[in-house]
Amino acid sequence: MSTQAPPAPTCEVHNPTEQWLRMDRIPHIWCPGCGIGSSVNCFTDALEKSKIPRDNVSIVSGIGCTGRTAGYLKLDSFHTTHGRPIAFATGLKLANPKLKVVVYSGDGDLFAIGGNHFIHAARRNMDMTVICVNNMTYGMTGGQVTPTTPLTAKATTSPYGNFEEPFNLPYLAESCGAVYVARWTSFHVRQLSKSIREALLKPGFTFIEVVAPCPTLYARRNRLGAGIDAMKYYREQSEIKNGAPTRDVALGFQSKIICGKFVDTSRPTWLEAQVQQHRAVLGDKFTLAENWEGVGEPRED
Amino acid sequence: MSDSSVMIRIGGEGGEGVISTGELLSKAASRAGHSIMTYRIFPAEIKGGLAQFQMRLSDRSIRAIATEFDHLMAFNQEALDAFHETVADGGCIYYDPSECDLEGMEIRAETIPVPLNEIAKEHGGTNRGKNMVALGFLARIAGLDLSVTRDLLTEKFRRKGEKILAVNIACLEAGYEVGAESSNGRAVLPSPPNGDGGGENGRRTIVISGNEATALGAIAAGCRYMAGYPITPASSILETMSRHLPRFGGTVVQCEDEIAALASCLGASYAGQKAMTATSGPGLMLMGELMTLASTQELPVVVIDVQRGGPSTGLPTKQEQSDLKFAIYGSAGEVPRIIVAPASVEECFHLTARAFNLAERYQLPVIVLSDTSLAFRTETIPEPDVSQIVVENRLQPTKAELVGYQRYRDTPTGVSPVAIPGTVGGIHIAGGLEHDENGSPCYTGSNHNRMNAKRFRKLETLREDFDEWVADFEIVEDAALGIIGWGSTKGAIQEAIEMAAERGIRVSHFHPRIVSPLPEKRLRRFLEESPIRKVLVVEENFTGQFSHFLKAKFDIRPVEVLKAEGVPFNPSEIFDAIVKAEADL
Repeated sequence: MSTQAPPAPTCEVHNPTEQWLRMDRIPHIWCPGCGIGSSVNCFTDALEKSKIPRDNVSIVSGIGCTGRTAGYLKLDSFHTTHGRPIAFATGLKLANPKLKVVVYSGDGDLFAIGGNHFIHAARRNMDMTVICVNNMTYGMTGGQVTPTTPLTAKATTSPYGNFEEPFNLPYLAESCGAVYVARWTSFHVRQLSKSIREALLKPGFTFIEVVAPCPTLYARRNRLGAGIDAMKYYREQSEIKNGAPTRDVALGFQSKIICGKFVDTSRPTWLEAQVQQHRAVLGDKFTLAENWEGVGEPRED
Repeated sequence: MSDSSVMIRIGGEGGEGVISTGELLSKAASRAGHSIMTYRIFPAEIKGGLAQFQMRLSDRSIRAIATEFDHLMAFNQEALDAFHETVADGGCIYYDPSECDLEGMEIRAETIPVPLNEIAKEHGGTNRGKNMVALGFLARIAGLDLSVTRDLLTEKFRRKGEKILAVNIACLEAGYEVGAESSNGRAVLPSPPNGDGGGENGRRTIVISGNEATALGAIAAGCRYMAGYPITPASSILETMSRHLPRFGGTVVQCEDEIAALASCLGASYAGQKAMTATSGPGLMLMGELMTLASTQELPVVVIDVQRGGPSTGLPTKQEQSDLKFAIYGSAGEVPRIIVAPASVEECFHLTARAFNLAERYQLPVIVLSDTSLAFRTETIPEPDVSQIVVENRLQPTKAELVGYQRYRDTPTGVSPVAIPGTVGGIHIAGGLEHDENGSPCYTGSNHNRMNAKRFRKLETLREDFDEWVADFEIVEDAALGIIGWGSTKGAIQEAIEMAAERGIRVSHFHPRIVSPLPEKRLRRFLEESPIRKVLVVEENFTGQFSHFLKAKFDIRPVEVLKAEGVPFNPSEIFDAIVKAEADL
């Protein structure tokens, strides 16, 4: 009988997501119970399954908690100013259409200060995937009301309850012309990952809303408990209705959450439309940009 | 004004054809081999209000538009009232008697009635062709050949159908005939040295506006991405690029606002493209946010600011040089930028091309401070030789540098190699947060100091790279007076200095092309190693922005010669300031 302790296991344990992360930047800034990290896991999983080469993916973020995503991903990443990731991504995509351009940002960044860019990029069917983590508050600045804060919910700037009608994001995206629109919560990791993969592989303006908890600010101020309580709420109150009319999926305070893929359609992207129009009018005088080979050719959808 | 040049002004109601008359006349004159410079002033509204077109024709090259006229064509009473006093002694006013009443007016110049409306009705049934009558009339007054003008008109109206063309030609010819009767004994231009559009030294010449030259300069320098938002007086840059870039494999996006415009340019630049936006003061303010991002991320980008009268919406169609301080200092935090200021239409082309090279070499935003007077002015310029344009590209990492790649490596020049997305091993983050050499956010004081120093070191490197081109200056022997100006005032200053020289007053002149960072060594030489005892700073704003900038760096007390009236300096105004300064010496 030996009194010696067994040797410590020598194998190193690695999270499969690590290869996609800048590990020197970990630990991240997100609070315990926050939904952004789960969404990032879904994103890296989707990216891996999509088989898009890493060097061909570029991620663009705005400002805020979700805006920090770009900084943690081991991809060519761009951390822009507040509200501008879509505008930036537009130039990036047009200068190099071979890149898969992903905008990853929050509800305040994309729909308050960045709202104008969102509606126009969707209208143009600009080729990019926009992932909005909707935690219904400005996290990094301390819990102010956003354009998606549900009615009656409290925020530091709506201390008596929000009285402004919030955006119904899938409805907004579809109205503006997005060709792919889905919503999941951070509880629906498998479905979310699948949706992100579909969106990444689809040409045109694709949009995914990720309803996620902010336990530190939104949940605490509204007495909604910890992260685990949010998961329970998502599990119990979510209903998956693929193809649901987007006008019917608005969110209320702690209301039922309609999830699913709502829109999956097709129309020419800005790049394709530009090439087709200029080629038709200018004929031989039109010159295709150096790295645009294949743009404007018929595609298989 | 030299004897070999003729000044013509046309005035009338906006939408009446004043501008088109002037444009066609100037094209015809240019085809006949004359040098021209034109300027237009029009109301911000599309119809109504007083519009005017002015034009200087010469058999030599022209530097500035003068404000005393030999000929005035008044389409209506308002134009006659506003402009009759600007006609020089010995000049002549032509007016439409059905629109103008001279009774009770004190007019110095000779007046000749030209029934524009009546002649137009005679030939076309309506008075819509009256600008063609005016064109024919003025073409004869200027001594232009009828056939040149007629050919031009044919090119312009051919597409509109035989009938419309015929009416316009008939109006033109009728006007020309009336002009023949009125031009007897009047000073007109001598025949140009050669009538085939050839300019000085036999080089081919073209007539373009400052905005067109800016757009073409950008394309010549390799710009293949432009994003913008409509704004007077910069819109025609976006329009020109929209027309031409698809032919060169480039992309133009008219964005939802100026913020999006510059943001998408930074996206394109990040992807390795040469990108540009063009705006005016109000748009530049919106771009402030992205300007600082560009400096922090060290992305090359060119921002054209066609200055207009401010503040706020201000005088949208009028001249002012009042965005200088915002261009230099308008930022959250401290950022290095380069500011260049073209002084002529020709420089709009070459300086814009250079701006791209500066942006690429130093990985910085470069602001080109053009202005309304350059934007709307057309000039005869030698056709730029595009093969002579040097095109520079940003420094890229070597294979060795891509191992453990550091995007913001602190180098002796401040410039670090930049990997284009898609480069294997070159993955990096570019962000607006203060970062370390890898691009990762880092807020320590020592890192902030170090990165500030790195970014600003690029301006020092630029100063060391300065060559002859950064400033134009002429130190005149024994001149006790010196003039410093910037941007579009150059021609007027040069003419004023010539006028002074004729009076025996010697004046030296310094005109930087790079306005910030200042070519300090050269300026010091100009100020301190010359006999200059008094400096005049000439600029078109109310507060003396460049003068403030100079006073902050040099121990000088300049005489500020300022004008903020919505129109450019007349050389005589600067001449008057020279005479006064000389008397006060």
